[in-house]
Amino acid sequence: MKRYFAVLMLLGLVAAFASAAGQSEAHAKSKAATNDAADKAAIAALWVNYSKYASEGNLDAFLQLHERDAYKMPQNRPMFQPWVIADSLRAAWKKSNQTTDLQMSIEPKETVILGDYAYSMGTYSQIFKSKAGGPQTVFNGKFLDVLHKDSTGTWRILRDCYNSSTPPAK
Amino acid sequence: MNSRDSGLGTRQPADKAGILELFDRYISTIVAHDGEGWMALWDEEGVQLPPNQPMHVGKQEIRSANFDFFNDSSRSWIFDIDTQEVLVLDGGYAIARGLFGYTATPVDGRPPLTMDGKFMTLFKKQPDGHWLLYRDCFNSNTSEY
Repeated sequence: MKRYFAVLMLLGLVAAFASAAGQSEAHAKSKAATNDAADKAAIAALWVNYSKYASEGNLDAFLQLHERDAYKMPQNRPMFQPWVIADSLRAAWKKSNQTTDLQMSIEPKETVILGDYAYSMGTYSQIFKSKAGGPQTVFNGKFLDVLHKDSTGTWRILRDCYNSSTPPAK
Repeated sequence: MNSRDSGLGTRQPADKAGILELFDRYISTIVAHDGEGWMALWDEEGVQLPPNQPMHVGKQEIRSANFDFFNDSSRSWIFDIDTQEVLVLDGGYAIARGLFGYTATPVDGRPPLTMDGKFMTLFKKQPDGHWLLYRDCFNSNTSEY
């Protein structure tokens, strides 16, 4: 009889441990999913701000969206590090702000969180209109980015490759 | 011609060899006009982001856009890839960034097609441990393309 109760107790303990382990695993998965959703929301917000700052011509806020060792990979130009050439970017943006209105929108189609890194892929459009008048020009493009989350939990762009989705005008 | 790794990455790669080997096969299949071999480098859910075209989503769209071009033996290829950074990420993904260039010379004497470009490629590790192309964005470094 004693042996019977001992076996029952052992089975009960095993069941309790299994249940606790299952709950712990479920909790971890739930927490990961919550974190994943929060990280994706933060990156979606980053893209909204990217469009906003570009459209406003706000280079300082735009730069803050990038890591210090970020690379940008634009079409028809060599890759560059925006923080390294911030002064020349500032001069170019100032000149552009004086002559052209820009309206940018970004549509991320896929964002995947990979620990403290993520990749994001999507399309974007830029509408350029001269302040002097005349017809507007529209640029439709696409992008593939790698982002990094720093120790404060802030996501920033680490690598940014983008190009046109339409043939060049003849 | 083999791809090479300039080793300029600030983050140390943990699984560089498989990525560089894939780039070697990327080059060798193009040079050999091996369209099927080139297609075999892609994940079934791969997405290619080429310049001046919409993105090609899935292997069938990638094949439609590329197979004939790479399988065509009417031009000879010189193709070079300079991998400047490989970063292995969580979840069986890796990213590579670098430069590439090619000269495709038609055998009939027409002018060659050249490109001087850069790329950022995301790779996905397969269940058997080898890497395949998963997302690939590239463009020209000059306004000539």
